[in-house]
Amino acid sequence: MKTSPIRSPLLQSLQKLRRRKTAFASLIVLGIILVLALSGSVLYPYDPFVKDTANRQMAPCLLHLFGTDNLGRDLLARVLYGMKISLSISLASVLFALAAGTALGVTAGYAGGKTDALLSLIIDAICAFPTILLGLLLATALGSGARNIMLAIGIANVPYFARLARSMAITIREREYVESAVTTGLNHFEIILRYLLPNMSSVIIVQTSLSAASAIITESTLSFIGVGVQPPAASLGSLLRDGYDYISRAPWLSLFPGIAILIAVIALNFLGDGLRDALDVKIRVDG
Amino acid sequence: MSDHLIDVRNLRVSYFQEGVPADVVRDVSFHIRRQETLGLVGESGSGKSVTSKSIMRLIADPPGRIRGGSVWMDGKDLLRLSEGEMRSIRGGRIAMIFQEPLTSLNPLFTCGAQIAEAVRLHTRCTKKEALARAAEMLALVGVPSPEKRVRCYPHELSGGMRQRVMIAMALCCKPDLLIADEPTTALDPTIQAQILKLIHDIQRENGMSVLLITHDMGIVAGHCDRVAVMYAGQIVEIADVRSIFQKPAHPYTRGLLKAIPRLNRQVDRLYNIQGTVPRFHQLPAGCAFAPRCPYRRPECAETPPELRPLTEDHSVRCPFDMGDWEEGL
Repeated sequence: MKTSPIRSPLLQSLQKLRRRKTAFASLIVLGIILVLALSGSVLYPYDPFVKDTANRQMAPCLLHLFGTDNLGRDLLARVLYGMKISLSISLASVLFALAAGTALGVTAGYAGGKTDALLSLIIDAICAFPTILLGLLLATALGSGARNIMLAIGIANVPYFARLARSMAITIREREYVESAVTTGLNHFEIILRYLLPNMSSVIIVQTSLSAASAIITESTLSFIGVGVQPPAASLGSLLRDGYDYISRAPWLSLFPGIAILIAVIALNFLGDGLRDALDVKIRVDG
Repeated sequence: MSDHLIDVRNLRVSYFQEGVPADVVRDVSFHIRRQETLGLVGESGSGKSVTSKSIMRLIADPPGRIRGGSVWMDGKDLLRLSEGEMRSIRGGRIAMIFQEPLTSLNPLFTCGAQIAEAVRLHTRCTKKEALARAAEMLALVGVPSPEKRVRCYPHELSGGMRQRVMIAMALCCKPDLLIADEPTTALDPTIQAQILKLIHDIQRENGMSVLLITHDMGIVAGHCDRVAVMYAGQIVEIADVRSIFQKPAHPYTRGLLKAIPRLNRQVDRLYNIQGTVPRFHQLPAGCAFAPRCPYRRPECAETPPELRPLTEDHSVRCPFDMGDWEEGL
């Protein structure tokens, strides 16, 4: 029997992730996007808000890699800025859904009986609302803007996590190691924290990255139809919308934000796949 | 102080299926003395595991429910303790090991971490001390190079090793009672012998009692002081191990003993008891074993027999004596 040399679990997961080429590439792409998006004007000289009416709708060139929009603002700067907003909205809403959905689902699945029936009813009720409709509803009620579509996307994603967590909790609850944990004297809270959640973490994390990808699309959709991010702020969706009006004359105005959405969504999806393997302790680094 | 560690009285457990209760443990009473090993034998579905889980109050409700009886330990009825008090009993005073060592450990934590967790639940100590104690326990249960093994994940160990880890976990707080629910069923015969010997050695050292659930009469003969035989949710015979093997008083016990294959006898067919265990919602009105009993009489189908004492340490749930049976033949 051989044992793997002792490394921290995080390091082991990272090493395993490195073996998955697409996943690791996705991680790097996401990293670059994040750095570029967050650093803003430090790394890239153009400001996304400064208008330059002399250079309106310039085609991509060496000076403006993505060209300029109809107000002469540098499109690359705007795409990076939009990426930052889109990613923030997506991440915040998914984290909200993750916390609320997992808590709901685990409680329902672990408790069972009437608690389960009630919570499942709530989850199903949320699920009955299409995301777009929920977004429109919240926008009408609370006004449009980043915070409200964040909330709308978050709420709309709760059922995905809740259902996943519930079914995982029901499965794991019946495993022998949970029963044997009860015999050592652990209470329900500790069992949920140390046995249920860790054992469902890999599927939840995968769901998080998939949900983050779909949240970017939902956010873009909402911004595209005008209930999302309001100018002067911009997200990838609203950039796409702005460019849409000039699609025949200046196609790059929609093309680049569109490609940015594509890259972010694909990278998040690949990353999810890779994480699933990387987080499994049964798959050895040196296997 | 009485020498009884645990007194189970008139235990009744039902499982509900679509609202219809089925009594899977019916009027079960027995005691476990300090430092002794009580064997609990019976076929699958005879209520052995449910009985042992009831002591720990591990019956999932729904679908099961403990509907009556009491489990006394040190003058307290475990069935009436609060959940918090019960938690300090579990793992602290009563520990349990299961049939499936392969799946009884949390796959995401190292063995050491899991033993240390059990240690810290019942004793006040730092994480480091708990881990040191875990290594100590692993050494005690015969795991080679314990310092290395504490950092192993369960899937890196063999079945026998995992059962040792389970035992280490169960014993780390020196319980008074170890409930071993078919601890060796999933293991090879050689490992089986090692594990049983290990439990026996630790039992002698720590002076703990063991409730050993099994369907292997060989294990019973080798490791138990007393034996309770269960059939269809009832104890049909309870006695010291010598009496069970030499003077079995219940037809079912006799059947079980006859069913053990002998190496020194040539037989064409292995003996088996005719029929199958009755289903719990269609139990016969009289003696539960009557339909399969080779010695049954007309009255057996009508009145359910009571457990009656033969000697001080031997009770049987059959109104007839050995001699009466032979007449019936």
